[in-house]
Amino acid sequence: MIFDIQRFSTHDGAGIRTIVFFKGCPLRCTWCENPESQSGGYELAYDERKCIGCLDCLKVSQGGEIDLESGRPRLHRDRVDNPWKFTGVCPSGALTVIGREMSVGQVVREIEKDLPFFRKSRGGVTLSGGEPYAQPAFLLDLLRALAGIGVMAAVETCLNVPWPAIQASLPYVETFLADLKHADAEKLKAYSGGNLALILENLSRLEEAGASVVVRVPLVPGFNDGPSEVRDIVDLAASFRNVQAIHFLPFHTLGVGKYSLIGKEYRHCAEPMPSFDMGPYLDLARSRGLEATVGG
Amino acid sequence: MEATGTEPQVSERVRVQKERLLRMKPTVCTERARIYTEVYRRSADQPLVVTRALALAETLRGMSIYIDEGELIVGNQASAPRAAPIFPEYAVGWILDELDEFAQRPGDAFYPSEEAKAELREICPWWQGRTLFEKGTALLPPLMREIHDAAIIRAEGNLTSGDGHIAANFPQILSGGISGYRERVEDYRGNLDLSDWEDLKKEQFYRAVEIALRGLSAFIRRYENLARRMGTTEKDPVRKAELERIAMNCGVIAEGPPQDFSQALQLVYFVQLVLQIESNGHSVSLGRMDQYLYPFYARDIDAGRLREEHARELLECTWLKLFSINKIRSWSHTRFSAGSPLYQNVTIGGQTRNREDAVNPLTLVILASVGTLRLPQPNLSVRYHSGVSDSFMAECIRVIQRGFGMPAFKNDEIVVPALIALGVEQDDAFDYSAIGCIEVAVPGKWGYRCTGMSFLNLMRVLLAALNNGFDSMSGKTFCPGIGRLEDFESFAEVMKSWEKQVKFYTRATVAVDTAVDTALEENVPDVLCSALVDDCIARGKTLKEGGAKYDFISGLQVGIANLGNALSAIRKLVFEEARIGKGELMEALAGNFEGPGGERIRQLLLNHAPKYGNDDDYVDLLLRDAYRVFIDELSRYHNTRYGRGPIGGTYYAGTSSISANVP
Repeated sequence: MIFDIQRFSTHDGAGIRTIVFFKGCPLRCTWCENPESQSGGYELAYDERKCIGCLDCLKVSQGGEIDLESGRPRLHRDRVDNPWKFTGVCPSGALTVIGREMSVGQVVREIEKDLPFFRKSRGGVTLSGGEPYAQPAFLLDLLRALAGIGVMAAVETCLNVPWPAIQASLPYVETFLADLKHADAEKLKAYSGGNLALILENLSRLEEAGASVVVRVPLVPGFNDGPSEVRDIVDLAASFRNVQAIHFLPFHTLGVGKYSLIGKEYRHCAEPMPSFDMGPYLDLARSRGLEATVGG
Repeated sequence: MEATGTEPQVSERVRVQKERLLRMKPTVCTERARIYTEVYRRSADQPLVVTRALALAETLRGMSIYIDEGELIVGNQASAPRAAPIFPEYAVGWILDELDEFAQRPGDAFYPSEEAKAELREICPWWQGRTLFEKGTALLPPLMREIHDAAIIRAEGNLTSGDGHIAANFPQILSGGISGYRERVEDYRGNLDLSDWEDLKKEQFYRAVEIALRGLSAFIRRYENLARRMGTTEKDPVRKAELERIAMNCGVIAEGPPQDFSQALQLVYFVQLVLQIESNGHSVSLGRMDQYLYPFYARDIDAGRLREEHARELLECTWLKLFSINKIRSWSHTRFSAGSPLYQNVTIGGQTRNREDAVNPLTLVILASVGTLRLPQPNLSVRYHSGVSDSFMAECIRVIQRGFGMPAFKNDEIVVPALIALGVEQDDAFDYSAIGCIEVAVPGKWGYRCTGMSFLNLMRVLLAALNNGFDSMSGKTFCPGIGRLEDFESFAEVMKSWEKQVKFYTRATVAVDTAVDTALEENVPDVLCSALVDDCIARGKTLKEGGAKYDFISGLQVGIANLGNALSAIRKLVFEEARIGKGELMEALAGNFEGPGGERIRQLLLNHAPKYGNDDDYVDLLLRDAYRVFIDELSRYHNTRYGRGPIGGTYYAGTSSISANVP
């Protein structure tokens, strides 16, 4: 289950890249910028502003998922058990289905379109999400297929996943873009539902396996942006021999609007990050022998 | 990435001039209109080519000239920088209609003085009934006139101004100078058999060319004298030396070939300028400037007479002068070409005739000078090829980073073989350049407007194909159809209907071109421009009479991508998915999607069918098939120069899309 494929990205890895976003994630980070990536199933997004009142959706709705409220369609999410049936129904795109079941072949065909760009720019594919390792079998098939056409893949992962899935993928992954959101197990658990012990264990095993790892740290106000918290994260990252680089990803609120479209509530503070000097963090990371960048 | 402080900066002289030019409000200059009107009235007995040569020469002798502070390259198109001259012989109706509104335009406004307006009101009425616009419109056969009025095919741009879209043979001009051309003309003229009708016509042309060339020389002499006069009173010794240098340069090139880089550049600019006083057709281009100027540049650098910085400043001064040239268009034409574009294209890079990389040190100086100046003129084009060096590409990309949309790239690997396949000689094919905004042709050897004269609106053709040939906007049926969409059982029938309509309108396009070309040939022949393009002098013909070595043109179309999108939506939503009924779609189209349910249909068409240009064969191949009908049909026709001298004289498939953006 994929929710988006983004071509011509110059972030999330080297060169020009195609990013494949897997749908479904074991974590529930309060600041998540892609809330539509969390659930592993189809979801309905409803943007009332785009509705032209044609009521085509009402004709498809049979379980009372949609009814009329003063002439406008109203969506009852609790009654939706098959979002997929609304695929392509809404003329104006006010009601859309998020999620697409794609075969490995379909994804590869999309990726192949940019092969010349990968070659010229030393780019490739980044498998992101959601959490790619939440769909281990599909991920492994895709990685093998990509290796078959000579495309290098990076995997962006929260590492909050069972080791065997990662282990199986090792021969096909060029770089792991691994999240390290916090060095405090309690706080990580409270804000994302993550298990720090599992994440660190996976990092150790990646170290043993000699895998190339870039640590990515979303800097989130009220969660991990205190100086001591950042220092702990950097120290933790630097303690792994195979971690070469660290990327700080400043918090933003561009994804907040998406919450209401899929019937969720945004619970983290809605203030964008005050612009502040990243210099000390970069210096800190560099003093620990890491390449450090903002974004990446 | 922002340009940093380490980027090369323009000199103080160039900076001051640039700021002055950018601050200037474009005005309207009546000098050309006044002199042309006088000469036309006085010389009505002369053959038209001679009248036009006299008018040009007299303008060059009588118009105001000036040398602005700090200028190193001189020559002005009108009495003030960015003032637009008026070309009454092409059209006057729109001038009289819009005169009071020029200053009120939301974009591309011009600010004529009250005196200028009064003079134009006096001049223009004499021209009524004598202009290209009126004669060309009258020449359109009735059916073509109706189609033109219905705006399915439009050729207004070419009925209200000259052709443009041409480059003179600059290498030839630089090697022989103006006198070289005059000697050739005298030779040919002396060998005519005046008992022969054709030679009598040639005699008139040669006479006209001599008049025009003498006018050009006199124009340059005027700058020589002006610079000398200014030099004698100039207090600043540096400027005094510059003025003396300008006078000397003009003195040399007024007749003979240039002796060094600055003279060569000055002569190129004078020719480029005067072609835009002779005619107001835009897209007069400069060809492969880095190639034909390089011998002069290399000689001067090697001899220690020229430093790279100075060459760059001279080029920047030339670009400033190109930017000072302006054109006023009718509002209906202005709306589609916002920003007063002149499309004076300079081409650099590419390959030599021996297929070697043609990039030379001057290529880089031209690239850098255009990049630092950041003006909308000239248009800079780079010829790309597989052997182009990474370092040159990196320089090009650095200029692109400066964010003003230049340089454009042309791909030798596509263009050269295509030209050869068309019938262009191999050496000439390797010598192609950009002409105008995006067109390509062989500079100095190709007739006007390789992209054609008139615009065909493909969506109007499709609407007629869905509507039994009926054009709902004009309420007329120009080509009876094979049914309405409701009658078609399959999508293949839609394509069949399209085929019939587009073939009819392709033919109509050529018929409109033929009429407009004939009107241009008979009413506004360009004498100087013809003389400077091969092989007009050898043939004794103007370009429109078939003087050019090559003369292929294509049609111009509006709405190519829209055609693909429309066909894709009809096939998918009407025929494959039946989500939209045939009658329902026709009703929505008739009402411009305004009736009940109209918006729903519009949204379905917009959001639920593949769109052209996204690497989706469903729609891309559909458009290819539909467009191919047009291309195949077009290749059956020829233009008015067919069989009269040029290689070609036929139509080929070429298209361009223009989006005009102004900051």
